[in-house]
Amino acid sequence: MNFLEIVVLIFEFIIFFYGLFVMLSYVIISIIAASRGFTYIKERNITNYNALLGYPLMPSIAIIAPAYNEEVIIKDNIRSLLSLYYSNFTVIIVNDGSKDKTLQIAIEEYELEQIEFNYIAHIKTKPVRGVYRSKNPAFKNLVLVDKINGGGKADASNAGINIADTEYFVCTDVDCVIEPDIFLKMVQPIMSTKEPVIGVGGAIWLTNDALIEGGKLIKAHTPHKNIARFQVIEYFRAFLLGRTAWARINGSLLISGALGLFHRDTVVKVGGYSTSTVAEDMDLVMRMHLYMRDRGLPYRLAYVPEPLCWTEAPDTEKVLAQQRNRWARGTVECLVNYKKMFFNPKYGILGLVSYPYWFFAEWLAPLLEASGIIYILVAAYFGWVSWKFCMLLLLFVYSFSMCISIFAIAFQEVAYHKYETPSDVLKLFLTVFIEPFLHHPRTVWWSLQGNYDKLTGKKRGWGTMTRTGFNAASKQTTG
Amino acid sequence: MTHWQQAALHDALRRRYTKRSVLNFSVYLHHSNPSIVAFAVRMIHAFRQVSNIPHLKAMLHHEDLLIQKLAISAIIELGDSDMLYLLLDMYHHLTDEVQAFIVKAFLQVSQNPNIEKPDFKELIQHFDDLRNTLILS
Repeated sequence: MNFLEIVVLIFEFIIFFYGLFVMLSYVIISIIAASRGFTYIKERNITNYNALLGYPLMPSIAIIAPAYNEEVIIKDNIRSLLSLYYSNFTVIIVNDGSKDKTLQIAIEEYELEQIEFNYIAHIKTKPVRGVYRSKNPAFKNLVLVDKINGGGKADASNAGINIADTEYFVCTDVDCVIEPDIFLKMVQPIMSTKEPVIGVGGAIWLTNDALIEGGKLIKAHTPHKNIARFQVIEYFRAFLLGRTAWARINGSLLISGALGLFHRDTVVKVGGYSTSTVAEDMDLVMRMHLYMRDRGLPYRLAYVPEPLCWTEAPDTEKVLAQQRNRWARGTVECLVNYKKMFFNPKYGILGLVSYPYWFFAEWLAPLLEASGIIYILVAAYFGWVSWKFCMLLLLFVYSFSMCISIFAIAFQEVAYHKYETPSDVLKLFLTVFIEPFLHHPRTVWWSLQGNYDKLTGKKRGWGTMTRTGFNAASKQTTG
Repeated sequence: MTHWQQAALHDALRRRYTKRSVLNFSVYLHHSNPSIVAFAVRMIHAFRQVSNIPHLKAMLHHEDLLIQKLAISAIIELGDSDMLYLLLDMYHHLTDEVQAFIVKAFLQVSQNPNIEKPDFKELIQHFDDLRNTLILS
């Protein structure tokens, strides 16, 4: 064998074993997730959550919702947050220096007045201009923080955390639609686990083309646009399978920024959300892991495998590209910042399983996929390809990916049945067949671009997302 | 018993008994199982058994930190000013974590518009001073 043949052989072995590793990982993840998911459903069906509404010692929770130029929806969404079913919670709206009438509308609608407040910046933030509470006793658990814009959602969330005097806080986006019993479901792991629970994640579903009135979800629909429908399937795979399985083994590296419940004091101790990364949610979770593990403290990060929060996905290619580029850069940043975890037995399952999985299966996947495609083209040029074997292999991989997606959709249907119309479910099943060809290659490309941008130091912000709004009213928000 | 199970038990007790007829939970305060003690403290708090608050004084030195914190929360919310001055007297004999918890719990209750405690006004200055000491340290 000459040198080139040896190189090619090694490369083929790497690709082969990498493919096996990824497929095996997906199978294991699906088995763990299904086991945990069905146990959760059984427990949920025999739990009377409403009985807890009369219990006066429920853990106190603040729901922190940063708002930037949200004048179209601020009124409805504050009302939606105030009407959550829970006995001990505060709603903290952080007006992040909106340039529109967000602040004025909130003040007028909820009879807010500025109060004297000794703002202690446990976590450093941009200056707070004022803290408002309502004169109306009906809105006594509403607090509005008005701060100077800057530092993005992370800085606004940190201002809310500084204000919160509760044991836990939930960070969400003001444009998210929250299920009314969200807190009852999210505190269950905290109250039923002997180890201290420092964070709880929840599943997020997409609202594109759903019917929403007064900040509440009336009926879910499968999105009309392919680009949004592809993301529905991605969300099912991520939230029903991936997150569920990782939480089951206490190895979650990510609790989504759109919905996460955290132990406030622990978050303050680790310095809150970082304003210097584009993946502040993953960064926070990894810092919390490090803090607890370095001190040998017992803890858990839990997950509720049920859709508790609904948000709007990007429905244009440009915005989706920006989002995926940001996710790729965020992954690189977190993996680099916390590289000491990599195969470090001190960090247990995180160091030995979670971090390496993220490294190999999340970060490396698009790079290897791209190199595989280049290799096929080169091999085809030199006539090295056995096309029959190549097609069989492609068919196998395609079928495997479809099986995982179909399993996720079927699981969603059996467990939660959020899409009531059969045609909606059918559309999702049909989408599975085209997703690997029409959507997946683009996500690989955007991820490569994100890695390239990170490598070359190209500065990109969060990107501006134009949402259609829940009531067909357009609005602008950072996203 | 987990806190979740205790909350479910509270619901069952709430349905079965009235506030006056519910059993006296102080008899469980010296149980050997810490989760039973935690349950008893929580139920004294939840059913607002003010007459049992003096019994919680002994819980401030319980070996389980959670029970200490639960007792402090109940004393601060339900106790009279004598109990709170007693808490202040004991303050410097308690651990840093418990001290911080006392100050935070007191200031939370004093800022809660739903809880009317006229006696608290005199005490707020004491607790504010303690908070400043904590921040400086």
